[in-house]
Amino acid sequence: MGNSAIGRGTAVEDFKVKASSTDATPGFLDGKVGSGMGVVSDLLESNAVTFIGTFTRDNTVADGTQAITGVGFQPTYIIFLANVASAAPASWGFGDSAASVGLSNRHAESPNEYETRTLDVIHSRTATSVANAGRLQSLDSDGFTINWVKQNSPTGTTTARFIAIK
Amino acid sequence: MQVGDLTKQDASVQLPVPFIGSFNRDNTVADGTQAVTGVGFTPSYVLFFSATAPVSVSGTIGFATATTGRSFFSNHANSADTFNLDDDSPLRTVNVAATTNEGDLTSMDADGFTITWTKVGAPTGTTLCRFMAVK
Repeated sequence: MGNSAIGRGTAVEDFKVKASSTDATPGFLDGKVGSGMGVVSDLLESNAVTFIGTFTRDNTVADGTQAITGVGFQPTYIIFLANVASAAPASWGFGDSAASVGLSNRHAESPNEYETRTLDVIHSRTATSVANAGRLQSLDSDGFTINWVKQNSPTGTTTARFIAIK
Repeated sequence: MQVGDLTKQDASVQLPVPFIGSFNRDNTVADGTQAVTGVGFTPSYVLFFSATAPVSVSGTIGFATATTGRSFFSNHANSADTFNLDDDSPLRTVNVAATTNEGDLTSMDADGFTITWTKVGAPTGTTLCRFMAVK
């Protein structure tokens, strides 16, 4: 690519891409670009791309992976809030490609108590020595994958809310 | 198709990568500072979870910058089934009535951050801290 520059004005529509007349790269844009390109450029400049979503997990389902898609990018890290509706299990967690941790309400086993978790970004303790733990297995091109590991036979449905950050 | 300055676009793959780690604080230790290292950069802000060993009614979610912190913590040890907010400390252990061990983030350092612990009364056990530092 020859001499080129990407500039930013005060509005999305002001983004421009310019190239020298000697640039022969096929398909290279020369001139003002549309709002779609502006969005991309804006994200590049802000370094802040996020996606907020929700998913559920039937706690009676066998151990295994659950792919969460539709995020639109490969996250760098994710923050989770999770619970079993109208019940004691609640947890908070965050993870990236290298590590994951969490905090879990263990009221269903011991009233009013909390425990930190290593690996588990989601942890639903539904009874004494009974839980469903969600571990961030991978960060994928369009989301991420949770690996669920049960302790005995948990019940109910875990609902997880998350914010994925690029 | 290539569009624009690739130098700038390449920067998009150099986004701040957080560091997730853990550390502990013996609640019987006297007030003082605790340097947390190994992060690899000077954080802009840090998110925290904490609970205790042995497990107790203490649980805290907090966050802090270099200048201030906030947390949401279980106050069950003092008043059953209640939660409180703290407008200063990201870490606050309340596992025994009328006691606390409060951790303020007092500096962001080149390889981590420093927590300054201040106790009220004689808290017991160990505070288990989990954190995510973001550049």
